[in-house]
Amino acid sequence: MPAAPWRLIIEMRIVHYLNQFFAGIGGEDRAETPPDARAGAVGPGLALQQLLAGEAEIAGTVWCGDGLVADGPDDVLNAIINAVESFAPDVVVAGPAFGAGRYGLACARVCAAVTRRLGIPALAAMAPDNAAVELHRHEVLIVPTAATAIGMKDALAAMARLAPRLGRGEALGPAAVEGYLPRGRRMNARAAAPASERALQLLLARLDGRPFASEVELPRYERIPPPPPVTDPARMRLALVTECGLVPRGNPDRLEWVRASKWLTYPIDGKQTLAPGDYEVAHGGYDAAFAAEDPDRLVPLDAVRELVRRGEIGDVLDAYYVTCGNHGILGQMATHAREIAADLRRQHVDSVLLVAT
Amino acid sequence: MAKELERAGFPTATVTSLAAVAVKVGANRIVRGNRFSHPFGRPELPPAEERAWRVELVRTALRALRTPVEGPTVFEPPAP
Amino acid sequence: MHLELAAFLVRRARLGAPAAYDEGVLTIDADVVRSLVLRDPRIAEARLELAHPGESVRVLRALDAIEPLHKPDGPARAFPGFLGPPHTVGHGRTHRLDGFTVVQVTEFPFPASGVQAFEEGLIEMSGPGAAYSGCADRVNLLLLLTPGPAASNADYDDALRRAALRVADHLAALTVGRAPEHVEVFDHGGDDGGRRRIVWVHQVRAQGPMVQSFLYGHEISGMLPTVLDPNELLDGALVGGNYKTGSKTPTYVHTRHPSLLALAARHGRDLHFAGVIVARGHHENEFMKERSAHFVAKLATLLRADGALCTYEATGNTHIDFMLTVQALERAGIPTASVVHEYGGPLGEDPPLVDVVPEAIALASSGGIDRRLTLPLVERVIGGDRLAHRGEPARGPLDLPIQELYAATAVMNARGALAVDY
Repeated sequence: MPAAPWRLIIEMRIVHYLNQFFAGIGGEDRAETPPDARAGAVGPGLALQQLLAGEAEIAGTVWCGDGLVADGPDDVLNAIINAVESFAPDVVVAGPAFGAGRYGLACARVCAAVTRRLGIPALAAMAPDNAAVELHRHEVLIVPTAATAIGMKDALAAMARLAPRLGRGEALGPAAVEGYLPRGRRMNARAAAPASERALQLLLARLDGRPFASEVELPRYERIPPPPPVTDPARMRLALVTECGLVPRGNPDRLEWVRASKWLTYPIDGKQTLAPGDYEVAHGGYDAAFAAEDPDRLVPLDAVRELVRRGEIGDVLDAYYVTCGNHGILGQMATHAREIAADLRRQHVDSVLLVAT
Repeated sequence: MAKELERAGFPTATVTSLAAVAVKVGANRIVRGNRFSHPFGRPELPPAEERAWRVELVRTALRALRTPVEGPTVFEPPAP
Repeated sequence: MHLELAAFLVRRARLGAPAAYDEGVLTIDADVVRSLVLRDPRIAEARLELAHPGESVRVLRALDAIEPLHKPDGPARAFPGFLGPPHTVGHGRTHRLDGFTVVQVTEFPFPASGVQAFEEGLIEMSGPGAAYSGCADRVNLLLLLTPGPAASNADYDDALRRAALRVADHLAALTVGRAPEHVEVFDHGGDDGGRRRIVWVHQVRAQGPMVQSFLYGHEISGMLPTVLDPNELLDGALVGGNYKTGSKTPTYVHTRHPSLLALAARHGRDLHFAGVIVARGHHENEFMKERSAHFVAKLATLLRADGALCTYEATGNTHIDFMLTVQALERAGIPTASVVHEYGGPLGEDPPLVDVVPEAIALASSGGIDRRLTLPLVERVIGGDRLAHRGEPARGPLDLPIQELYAATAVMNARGALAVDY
C-alpha cells in the first residue's frame, strides 16, 4: 500500500452475519437460536478482520439460527435487519455459508433485505451450487467458495477483497474479472479484437486441444418437443396443477415449505371458487398475503368454472394437484411431475393448466 | 414440472410471472402471469374487474393450449 | 488467386470540381455523380450530402453502404454482375477508397408491409450511438434519391443499387495514377504446408425484396451453398440488399468482413485459409434449412477443412439455419467456432440466444442488441424530419434499442463488442 501523508480516522464499518454454528452457539440442535448480536468480530470474522486490516473494521456481528431465517417468519428477518442497522455499517458481509443450504439462504435473504431496506451494499459468500445462489443471485452479490469449510481461507480473502470496494460505493466490473457469481445480467463491453478474431482463437484452441471458454454459455436445460395443441378446448378435460404450495388450511398432509418430498391432490368438485380461510400456502419462497385474501389468485378455479359454464372449457378434473417448488431439487420435482402425469392419464385428462410461482 | 408433463404428452400452459425463466428452462407454452405471489391476481383492482381479468388470463392459457408451437413461446395476456 | 488491394484512405470529402482524389481528400463533382445516377430513368432526382465521423449528424432511410472499388487494369470489373459480366474476380489489382462509403438514402414509391416494409436505416455519426452504428467511423457520401417511374419497389431498388455502384466505381477510379497509402496482397492458393485448413462459413440472408443479398449480380434465395475464394469477396462478389436496420450486412462489410480479415491475417502462418462457403439464411422451412446445412458440411469436407469459422447475418429465423449448420459441421467431424450476437432484453436479463444446438460449444459474443441507448439532440438530420415508423421528430433525443442502429450486428463484431456477465 502506498504511504499516505495522512490517515483516515473514521474507518469503514462492516457488519458480519453468521449462523448459530459459526457464531459458536451450537449445531443443528440450536437451529432455532433467535437473532442476537455483539460488537466486534466473532468466529471467522476474526480472520476476516485481519485481512481487512487498515481498510475496514468489523463493527459488529449478527447471528441467528438457520431454521429461523431460512423459512421463518418475517419478524425474525426484521430483528436481524434492526441489529445490523444498529451498528451503522457501510457494508454488510454474510457467511461464508459454503454448501449449507439453509445458511446460504439465510445469508442471501439477509443481504437482499439489507440492500433493499437499508440501501446498504451487501456481499454473501457460498458455494456456486448452493440452492440459494439460483434463487437469489439476481439480487445479491455472491462470491463463490468451496463446498466445505476447507475453503475458508480463500472465501474470506474474496470477501475482504470486494467488501471495502462495495463500502466505498464502487461499481464492480464483470463477474469473471471481479470474481463474483454472475447475477444473471449481461452487459455490453468492448474487447480488443473483433468477435470474428476471438471466434477464430476459440477455433484454433479447439483444434490444438487447448482449453477454451465459450463467451456465451449454453442453456443447461434439455428441450422437450411441444406436444400438439388441443384441437378444441370446449371438448377437453383440463387439470389444474401447481407447485405454489396451496393446501387446505392447517396443511393436513404436511407439505414441506421447501424441498417438498411429495405431491398431493385436493378435491374441488362442487366448489365454484377457492374460499379465503379454507386454504393456506406452504411455500417458503414468497409472500402469501395476496393468496390468503383470495386463493383464486393462485389457482384460478372461479375463472375456470366460469369458462366451463360458458362452454369454452369442456370439463375440469375434480381435484387439483399441488406440490411446493421452493428450493425444489430438479430431479425430485421431475419425479413428482412424472407421477402426476401418470395419475392424469388415469383420469383421462387432455391438457394441463400449470401455475408456477 | 412443465417439461415432464409435456414429455408425458400433455399440452401444458404454464402460467408464471417469470416467463423468461420458463423460457430458459424450456417450458413450451408459457403464459405471463402477474406476480410471483399471485400469478392470477391483481389485488389493486376492484374484485369484479380482477375476476374479469383472471378469466382473460385463463382464456390466454386456452389460446396457448390450442396453438401449435415449435419451442418455448410466451403468450401475453390482454392488458388489464 | 493473387489480388493486390491498394488502399486510398479518405480522410475528408468535399463537393467541388473537378472530381479528384488527392492526399486523402476526395473531391466529388456533384454534377458528374448526378448524371451517373440519373442515367437510369427509374430515379427522378438525386441530391448529395456528406457526413463525416464526429459530426452532429443523424441519417435516416439509409439503405446499402458501399466502399468504392475499381479495377484499373481491366477487363474484370469490381462488383461483378452489376458493373461488368459475372466473370470471376479476385485477381489482379483493385483500388479501394478506404474509410469511405457511398450510401443510398431514399423512401420507396409504393407502400409495403410485413418483411418488405421499409425500415429506418438510422446512421448516427457521433455520440453514444456512433459506437454501434455502421458508417459512423467513415466518410460518407449520401445519395438522396427520389423515385422515378419505377414499376415496383423491387424495380426501384434495382435502380438505386446499380446507381450507387456506378458512383462507387467512378469515385474509386479517381485514384488511378495516384500512390496508395498501402497495398495488401491476398493470395490463399498453393499448398497448405501441413497447416490447419480453415474455412469461413458466411451465411447471408435472403428473404425476398428489401431483405436480400446478391452474388455476382444475382439474388441468392435459390442458391445452394457455394464455395468462393476469399479474394472474390474483396472484389465485391457479394453485394448487400438487406435493409433490416440492425441486422443487415452492408456491402462495405461484405468486402472487408472481420472474419475474412482475421483468417487472411493468419494465412500461411498458423493456418491455411481453405475457402469461403457462402450459404443462404432464412430458408422457409426445416427441410430447406437442413438441406442447406448439410450442403455446407459437405463442401467443408470436400475442402478438407480441419475447422470452420462460422458467422451469420441477421436474426431470429436465420439463427436456426445457422445453428443447424453448426450442428451439421460438427457431426461431419469439423469443429466450429461461431460469432453470435445476443438478445437478452433491455437489461440483459433474458436468454441471450433464440436457439442453440448442444454442439455450439465455442461461441464468441458480439454483444447484446436489445440494450437501449439515448441518442442526443443532433444539429442535422439527413433523409427526413421524422422517424418513419414512430413519427417522432428525428432530431432527438431518441430512446431506442441498439438493434435500431444501422448494421449494428455487423459493426459490433468488427469493433470488438461483447456481452459479459455481471
